[in-house]
This record gives sequence, C-alpha cells and structure tokens, in this order.
Amino acid sequence: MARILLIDDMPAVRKAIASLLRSGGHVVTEAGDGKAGLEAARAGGFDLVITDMLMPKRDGTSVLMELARTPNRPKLLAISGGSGALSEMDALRLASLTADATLAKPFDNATLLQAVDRLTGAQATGG
Amino acid sequence: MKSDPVISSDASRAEQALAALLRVAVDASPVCITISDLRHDDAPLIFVNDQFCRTTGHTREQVIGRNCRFLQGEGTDRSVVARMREAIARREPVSIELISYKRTGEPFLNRLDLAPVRDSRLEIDAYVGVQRDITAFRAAEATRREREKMEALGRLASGFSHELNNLLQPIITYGGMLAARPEMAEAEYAEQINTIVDCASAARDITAQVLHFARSGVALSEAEPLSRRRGEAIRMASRLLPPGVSLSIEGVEDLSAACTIDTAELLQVLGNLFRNAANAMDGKGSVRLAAVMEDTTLVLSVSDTGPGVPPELWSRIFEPFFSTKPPGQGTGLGLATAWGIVRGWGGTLTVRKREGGGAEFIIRIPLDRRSTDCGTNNNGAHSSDR
Repeated sequence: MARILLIDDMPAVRKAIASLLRSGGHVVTEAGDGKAGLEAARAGGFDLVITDMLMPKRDGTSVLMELARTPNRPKLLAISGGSGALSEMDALRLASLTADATLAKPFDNATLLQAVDRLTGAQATGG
Repeated sequence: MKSDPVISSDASRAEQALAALLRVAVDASPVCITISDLRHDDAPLIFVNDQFCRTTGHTREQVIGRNCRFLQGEGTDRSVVARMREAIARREPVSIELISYKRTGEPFLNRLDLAPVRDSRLEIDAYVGVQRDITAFRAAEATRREREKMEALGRLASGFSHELNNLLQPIITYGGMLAARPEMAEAEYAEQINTIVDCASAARDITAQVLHFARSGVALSEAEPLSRRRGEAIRMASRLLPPGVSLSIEGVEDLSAACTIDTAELLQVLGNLFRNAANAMDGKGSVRLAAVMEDTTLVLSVSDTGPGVPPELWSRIFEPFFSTKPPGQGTGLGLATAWGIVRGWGGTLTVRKREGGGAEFIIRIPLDRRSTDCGTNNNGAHSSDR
C-alpha cells in the first residue's frame, strides 16, 4: 500500500486512474490542477506523486521542479498524452529531468500498477 | 573628323550602337524571344534568339519562315491554343502555359507571353513572344506544395491524436478494471467488455502510428539510415493501397546499406507510386516493390498489373498537372512530386513496360554520391551484390 497524490486536470482521466490505484490497494488523494496539487503535496505524507504534464494554472514541469527541491521528497511519476503544441514524447523527455519515471498515456493498468510498485517498493494489496 | 556618308551624325551613330547592343542582348537573354510577322499568311517567325534555339533544339534555318505551331504536339491543350489565337486576332497581349515539344520530341511546360508590336507608319504588324521552359520550376513547386500539405496534415493529425490519447485513458483503465473482475469470467458480457478493451488498445496503436507519421512528416530535413526506418515507410505507404490491391515486396530486406534517404520523402515517393498503380488498376490487381543493388546504384522498382503506360506518354506522365484521370479526380501532381523528390536525391525516376503487361516505375539512386557507407560494408549473408 502506498500513499499517492494524483494530479490531473481531466476529471474522467483522473477518476479512472484513481479508481485503478485504489483497486490496487493504494490510498489516493486527487488534485485537479498543478496549484492544488502543490498545496496538497506541501501537507506531506505521500510516498508517490503522479502528475500530468500539460495542465492549466501550474503545469507538471513546475510541480516536478518544486517537489524535486523538497527534502525527503516523495517519488515522482510524470504522465502525459501530449497536446497539439507539445508531443507526449517531448513533455516526458522534459519531465524525465526531474521525475523518477514517466508513462505515456494511454497506458494499460498493469503498466501503471507495476510502475507504482517499483517506485514505492510496495506490493499491491487487495484486488 | 571625317563625315561618314551613311552615318552622318553622332546621334545616328549612337542609335546604331544601341541597335547592335539590343541584338547582342536579345541573344544573351536567358528567355526565348521570338517575333512573328502577321502581315504574311500563317504568321511566320521572322526572328528567334539564341535561347530559343538552345531550349527547343531547332536551328534558326529550321524555323524562320514557319509558324511557331511546330512546337505543339499531342499533349498540347487545344483550348489554350484557341485562346491564344483569339487574343492575336484582336491584337491583344496574352499569357499562357502550354505543353510544347523540343526537336527531340521531349515535352516541356512552356510559359508563353505574347504582345503585339504595331506601328502603322513603319508598317509593322507583328507579335513578340517570350517563352520559358518552366518544367523543373513547376515540379519543384509541386514538391514544395505537397511537402507543406504533408506538414499541415502532420500538425492536424498530431493535435487530434494527442486529444485521443487522453480520452482513451479512462476507457482503457475502466475497461481493464471491469474485465479483471472475477465474476466477469462467467458473465455473458465478458466478450463485450473485452471488445471494448481490445478496440481501445487498437485505437491507441493507431494514434501512436499517426503520431509517428506526423513526426516524420514534420522532421523532413532529418536524414535517417534507409536500413532503420525504410520498413516503416513501406508499411505506411502500403496503407494507401485499397483492399483489392495486393502488395509483394522483394529484396528490400537485403538492403542493409546505411543509405541516408529521408524516410518521409521515401514514404511520399512510394505512396505516390502505389496510389498511381492502384488508380491505374481501378483498385484491383497487384503491386510489386523490388529493390536491387546494381554496382553502387540502388534500384527500386514499383510495378503493377494495370493496363500500362503507352510509350508516347513515358516522359509526359511526370509533367506537373498531367493526368489521365477526368478533371476533378487526382491533382496530376503525384508522379511529378515523386519525380522531383527522386531528382533531389540525385536519382532518376522513369517508367517502362512491365514484362507480361502493366507499368514498371524505376527509381535509380546513385549511392556513392550520398554516403561512402552505402552498400559497401555489409558483412555476412545480407551483403549486397556488388
């Protein structure tokens, strides 16, 4: 079981991923943009922060930069489907400078759960 | 100074010098200049400059006294000729583009600007014509336009695909979660949910391919080894074939040479040739792509089982806007674009009769000009035949 902060601006995407993580036995806090995500992260207590890259207010790059500087920081996983302006490859290449791992959307369930386990050293519990 | 019996003043000497200069300048001109005399029946040529002789391959003696229509031929658009005649009858200037023919029979796209030259006092009633061979220019223009179109298409495709990437995420996630539920194995709707997941995964693969294509379409300047990405270009190009057309590929895998041919350009050339073949066969038949090394020349051949191309059209089909299709179907730019790209590689694109019927398009790319590595340092079983 890991304590995970999930930041994504698309509600359907965020809820789906959160629901998958919970089904994998993890405890998930959701945030709808980078600013809300950073506020939640400051409260602490997360093993892992999963953040989308292209978001309004503060984007994923800014979230990653700030979290990377904090002492005892949580592990960072960047996810992106890209946009017309910036491809997911470029967004994730940028993210990989600070994040511990990256995943291109859409990823399948096993890929995400394995990445979470690898990053947190946790074994998923439950179903 | 002794007075000249003919040129009696400085003014007329200057005039004579200017006339001589004009004559030399007209011959030095990079465009063809002709003068036709309308006072005679059939408006014969009374002057052609040197460039006219260079462009058309005719000597002055062969053309003076004849009407300029000897440049016309089978592919010349009669309606454009008629428009020119009407303008001349009204003594108006006219600008047209016309397929014309050199002495060798080689066609060229001729840009023709005509203007009346009239002076009643001097009893002049003539037409001056300026002609230019714009074939290569048009082909380059067509290539550039096609390239811009591909880039715009790439940007559009990339925008759509990224949106879809995000939208597919919940479908794949929830679909996967539902399919994984233990009771699902028994449920009658197991097949339905599995279909949702499979289709979402297939859609993801398609967006990935479209994005790859969009990226290679945009990064046109990036030259990559043919060996690395040629397979992808061929696979993408083969998508342009309708279901009724089968594709066979020979020899391509043996070309492990690291030839630097732009993948996007290769895709465009093969795509245009495939599309042309499919059209010629009315969407039913087979297309064969074959590659061989002949010395240091890479020879790619695209042949089809269609009706073939009549020999008199073998050079014309690469002209921009030449199309055997009815107006509105096909731009007539496909083969011209392919020709322009292959020429950019320093190669040639020609057509001939396929053994057993159909057309065979041959691309010859001299590799020694492109990379010293090409086809020379293959070890083992796939070494090219040198």
